[in-house]
Amino acid sequence: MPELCTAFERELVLYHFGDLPEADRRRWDEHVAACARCAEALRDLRATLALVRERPRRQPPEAFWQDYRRALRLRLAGRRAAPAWRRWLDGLCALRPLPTLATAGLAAGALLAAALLLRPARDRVPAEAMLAIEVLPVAQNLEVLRVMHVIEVSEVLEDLDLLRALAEARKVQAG
Amino acid sequence: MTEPDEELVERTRRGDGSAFEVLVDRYMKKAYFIAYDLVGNQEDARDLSQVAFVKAYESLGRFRGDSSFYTWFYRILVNCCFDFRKRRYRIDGLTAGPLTDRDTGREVERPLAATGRESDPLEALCQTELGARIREAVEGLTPQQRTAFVLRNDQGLQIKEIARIMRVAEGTVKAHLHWAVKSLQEKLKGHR
Repeated sequence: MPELCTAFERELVLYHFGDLPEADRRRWDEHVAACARCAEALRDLRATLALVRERPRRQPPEAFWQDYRRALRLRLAGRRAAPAWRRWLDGLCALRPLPTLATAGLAAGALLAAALLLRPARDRVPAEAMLAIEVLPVAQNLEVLRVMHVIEVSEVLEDLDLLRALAEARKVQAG
Repeated sequence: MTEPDEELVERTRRGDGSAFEVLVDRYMKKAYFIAYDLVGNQEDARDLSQVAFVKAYESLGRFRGDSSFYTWFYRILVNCCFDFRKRRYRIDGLTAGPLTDRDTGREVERPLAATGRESDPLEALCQTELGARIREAVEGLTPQQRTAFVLRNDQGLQIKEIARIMRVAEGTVKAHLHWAVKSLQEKLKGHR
């Protein structure tokens, strides 16, 4: 097959649908007018696509349409009656089987978080107490913390000025 | 005399629900068949076309009238179908459900007989060899190919618009269209 015909074959579909740039389309117009093989290929394609476009559809019986109308009327009536927030939520979840579960999970999570954040302050454990609860069992198991002078030093270490002073004192002793 | 769509839209906006029902009657068959072509089964086509009507009803306040009601509604419908397909295939991929044929890897249509809505004589009429073969060829396209093909060949949408609906580049739509047509030509060889 001539090279030009092979190139046309590659662009045949877009040419048929008119989706090629103007310059390309003009170029192929000229080629099709002069090439019997490509003109035949184009005719063939157009016949196939027309056949497909006019393919018979499965026509549902009249009862289907009556049922369709009734169901849609109910849907519309339901939407008219629903409050705005419900319509918004339904729209969000419409026809999303898996995301609906995820949405429900997120909503449940959000409700739980809100309940935790909004519960009365007296129910909340202060942060320091939480720290103590976590630290105490660990500290009780550390033998070293049972030695009095270590505890004293630990308390002293909290004061940076004293820490610096201790370090300087050591330097003097060493010197 | 047939009342124009614009007047029906205006009446619906003023709260006349019966006006919207006229629009439903006017476009429900078209809507259903477009949805059917895009999703490939009766049950989902019925549901999605109804969802599109409900969405249109609720969004009528935002309809500015730049295009006809049908064009506007049509976009809602196509988007509903495309989003649904994308979601369904994502779910199908996660659950390895029965919606794809293991041997051929292509989409398998739910049996229409199971819905109990088809009448046998009509079904038989559509089961002529050529009709069945064309339908089978279209349904055998990949979902992306079928969407691009149906929207371009059957509905006449521009590539740009299809790309917007499918949320892909225009070049990708062109590629899907090209392979869809090649596949159909191959399958329908000798049937023209």
